[in-house]
Amino acid sequence: MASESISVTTSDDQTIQLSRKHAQMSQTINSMLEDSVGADQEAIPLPNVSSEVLKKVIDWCTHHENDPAPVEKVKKLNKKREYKAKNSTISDEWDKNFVNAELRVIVDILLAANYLDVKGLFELMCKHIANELKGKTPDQIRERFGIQDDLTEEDKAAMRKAWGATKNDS
Amino acid sequence: MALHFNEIDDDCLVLILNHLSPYDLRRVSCVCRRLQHLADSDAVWRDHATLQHFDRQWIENPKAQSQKEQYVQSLLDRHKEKWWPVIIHVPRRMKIRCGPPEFYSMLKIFTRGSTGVDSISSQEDVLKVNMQEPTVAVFREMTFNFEEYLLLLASAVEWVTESSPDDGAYISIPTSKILIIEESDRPSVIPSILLKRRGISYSIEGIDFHRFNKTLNRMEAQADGLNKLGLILEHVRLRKKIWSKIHLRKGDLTLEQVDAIVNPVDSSMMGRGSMVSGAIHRRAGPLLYDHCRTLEPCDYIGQTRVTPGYNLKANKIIHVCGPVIWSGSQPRHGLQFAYQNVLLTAIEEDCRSISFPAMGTGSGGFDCSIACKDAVEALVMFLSGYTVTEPMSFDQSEEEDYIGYVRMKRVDVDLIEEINLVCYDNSGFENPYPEFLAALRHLLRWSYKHQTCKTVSTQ
Repeated sequence: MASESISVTTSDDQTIQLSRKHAQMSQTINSMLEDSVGADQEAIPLPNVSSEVLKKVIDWCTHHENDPAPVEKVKKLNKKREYKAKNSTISDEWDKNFVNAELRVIVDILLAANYLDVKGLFELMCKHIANELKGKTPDQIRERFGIQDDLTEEDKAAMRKAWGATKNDS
Repeated sequence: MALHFNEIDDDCLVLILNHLSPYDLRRVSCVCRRLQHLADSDAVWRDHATLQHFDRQWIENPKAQSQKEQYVQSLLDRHKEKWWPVIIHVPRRMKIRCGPPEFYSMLKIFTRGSTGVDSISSQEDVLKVNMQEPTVAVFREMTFNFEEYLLLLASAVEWVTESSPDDGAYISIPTSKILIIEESDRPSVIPSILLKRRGISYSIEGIDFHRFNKTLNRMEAQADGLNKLGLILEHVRLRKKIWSKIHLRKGDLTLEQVDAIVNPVDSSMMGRGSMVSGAIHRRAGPLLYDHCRTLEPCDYIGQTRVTPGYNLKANKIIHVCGPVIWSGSQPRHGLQFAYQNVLLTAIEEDCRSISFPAMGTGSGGFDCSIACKDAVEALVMFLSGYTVTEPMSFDQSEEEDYIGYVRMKRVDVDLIEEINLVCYDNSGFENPYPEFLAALRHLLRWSYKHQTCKTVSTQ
């Protein structure tokens, strides 16, 4: 019987203990564990994740550890309904607080969730960033995310023509 | 800060963009090259392109080179062929200036900046319309031309431009009051009248449902003659045409200067006496009587025979086997059939204008208000391209009063240019003029006021 807690090493060389249940929410760690059945007790290296971010991820896992597993939707009908219900509103109050952080942190968590393959967390972060993009003019988006405007005037003119842009769009 | 965004790899970004609507995608694609490239990618647009039509099969457009084009194309196609109902609620006696800029922004709402906007921006005229009462109008629209749109708009309200051109009242359509009904799968909030028409469900954003339903119910009640929304819409479009064709007047049928007048007779084709038929025979002279003696008797209610007009000013007389209240199980049906069969005969005989007496109200024994209502309904339906269904199909039916219509085939109703309803004053029976007027107003309710000023007495 494998032990109840697993230790991982983060990018800044810290070793963090996390329970098996939380570890198994991450597909990446889960598959690592399966690969090394029996020969464990060694800390799993996670070179892409800092300890600060990992703590956040563990926070999220702790809160959501009892969530039912996401059901794979295969039917086309479901897909349509899903598309129709497609909205990026975050319904959970705890989640709303959780994403209320600096953009720097959000992006890091997104990347970590992607690397660790924690589906629910990744989805949450995607939704949050999509919300940030929603309803903003291109200028506002550039300002919020600090993006350089590398489009030429011709590009913009072509785009305006293709979409019939309104005055509000830059 | 820029670093954060660049750290996110393309796959993640695509998943993020998947959460956005086409409208937001359009803005995101204006941010920078990388986002432009990603926001145009097939992965982002596939769902939008394939799943936006819930009510019908998605058809791949062979011309489109990417999923985005696919989406835009199917959006355009959809708008081309689809009825897009828009509800405009107009508060009582509210006058707001509404010129092209407002229409322009209204169209912006419809089109969300993709099509059809340029076509109206050149319009300079201001439509002058005055609302008498709160009105709900249901329009179709997307690929309207501007005139058609204004016509539809005007049908929501009392049309006063022609009667009082200098009135200076303006149409009041605050753009904030325009609501677009979008498809959804929440049938609980749907007014039944729309469901009947489309067979699809709607939900409506930002609308006072109680009030909305009340108004719709009233509208439905008003329109019980043409009890389906589809017919109402068609009615709206045809109304201007119809109201210019149906004329109601008090006067003497035998003095009408038209291509044909209608002579309701009994099955022997020999109507005489004190009724309309007698008056026609007196005026037309004995030759008509001689002619009528040679005609074969009728087989069914509503059958027609045509004779020349002899001494009348009308060129022809269409004799019709008039319905009587005690004939058959479907007397009202027979009455409507008689009116419509006369019109069909008139088209065959190349008669462009035609004058009717109030059939059935004399010796026919019909209740005056029912006969007039049925008559007007029959005429309006005929001009809209519908005819009553075969009488025999209702014999076993419990709903004795039900009158069904079917769309006519291969009959060009536009050949009929003028239909006169002539109410004869001296018949000794109840004069049907007020009943006819009420029926006309009922069925052409927005506009018949306009018509009555044209009424002339020929006596």
